[in-house]
Amino acid sequence: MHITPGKNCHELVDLLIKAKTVEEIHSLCADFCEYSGFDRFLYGARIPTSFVKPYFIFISGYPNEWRTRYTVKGYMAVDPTVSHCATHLTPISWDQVRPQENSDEQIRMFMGEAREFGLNSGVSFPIHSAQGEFAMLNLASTKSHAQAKPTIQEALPYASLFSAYLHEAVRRVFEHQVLSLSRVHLTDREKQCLLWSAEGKTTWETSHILGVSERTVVFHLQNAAGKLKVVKRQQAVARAVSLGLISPQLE
Amino acid sequence: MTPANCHELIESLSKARTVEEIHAACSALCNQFSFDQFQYVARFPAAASIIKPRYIFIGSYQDEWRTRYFARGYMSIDPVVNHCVSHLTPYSWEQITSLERDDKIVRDFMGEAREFSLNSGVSFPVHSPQGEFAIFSAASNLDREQVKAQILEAIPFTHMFTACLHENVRKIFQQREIPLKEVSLAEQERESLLWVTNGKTTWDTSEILGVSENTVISHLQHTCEKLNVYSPEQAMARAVSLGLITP
Repeated sequence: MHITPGKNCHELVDLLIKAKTVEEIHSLCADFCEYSGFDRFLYGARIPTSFVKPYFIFISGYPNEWRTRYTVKGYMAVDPTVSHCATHLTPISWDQVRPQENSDEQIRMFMGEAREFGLNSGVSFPIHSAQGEFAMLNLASTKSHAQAKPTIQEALPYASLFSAYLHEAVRRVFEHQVLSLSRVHLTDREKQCLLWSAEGKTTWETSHILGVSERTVVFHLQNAAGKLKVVKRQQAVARAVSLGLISPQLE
Repeated sequence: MTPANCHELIESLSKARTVEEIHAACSALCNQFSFDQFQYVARFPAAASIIKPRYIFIGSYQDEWRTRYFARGYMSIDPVVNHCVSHLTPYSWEQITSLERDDKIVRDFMGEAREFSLNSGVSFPVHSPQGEFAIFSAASNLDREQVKAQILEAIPFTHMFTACLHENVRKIFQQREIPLKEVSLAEQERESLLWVTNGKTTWDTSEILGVSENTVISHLQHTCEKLNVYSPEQAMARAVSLGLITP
């Protein structure tokens, strides 16, 4: 038996907005999971601190043994819910995993192993932030797909809303540790120089567009690179785009 | 709203194959929650340029308001846009802070919006992994206090509806026109670009990937051609903003 998620969802969202520690967030996730009729939850986020070595944050209500095995065996590259969520905005119920993927031996084994840990059915919600972070909220049930279907259907709108607030709560709590880069402040001039560089203009061309000397453009680009803690202009452009510091102009 | 209604609405939205059908699904959502008007605006990174994105509008806001909005550059003062560019969470218009309300420019803007029956409402941001940014707004001509409960009820479902809406718009415009031509990079092209993006020289990259430096350079050149750009900086900016390269 479970309680209707509607009212509780709004209450939990209000609490999420106020949450100050990872522990509080964890217990709110656990409450949400229970209220909406699921048994397990996992929230994972990839923070673009570096292209090659991003930073991961997990808030887990999954069995530890399964999490360890998942990491050791590199299942992130196999998990079909991860590949769905990486390119979509809409949730995926685990029974929707496409048949050709299902027939893939590796994926079948993966899903079989997950079942051994009581992760029989569930649903994954993608989260994509304006700052280039990618996260997922998984809600899992020990029930079979058929039995869990009504629970999943009912939970969809509430859980997708909850996942957005969850991610913003995590951002807030972790802000001082790993998200400091996304709070880098670039001046308008620095942004303009990066933007024109991203558009393929040379420093000489940029200097003419902005009506300043070429040396000034170089100066702005160097300052921007320094703030972004990178050495090269190419890196600076890539970081600034991936952190959402420069984006297509709002006309 | 019953789960059956929900399901039906999402179903009709995901089956929509034309802008008109999408429009109809949005109108149905508005009816369901007693909103009067809606607007979906999306900014798609154009394939050719990061400077000039492409905008897509679907909505029932009056043309006069939309024209005025852009002509007067209201996008830069609209508190809704200001919230949505950096957030994932919905924005109920009553959240506009007293600080913002004290700003005469914002107050005048809100007054003008009211002339077009945009008294209260709620907006939902979309940030896609492909670098698109969109906002879906549902508005009412009633005052904030009168619609508070109705908005609260509409939020969870409309949040999910918005994600589905955006994915569908993508699909339709992708099939129809050029701008979102899907570019796919070969694994080694992606890796070459990734390492160079991360500050490695072409020589470093060749050592990491165990190929010759010339191979790396040729991968980078092919990538530039595919993305229709001329420099590695451009290629990286495009690849990142289109979501072809992620950490």
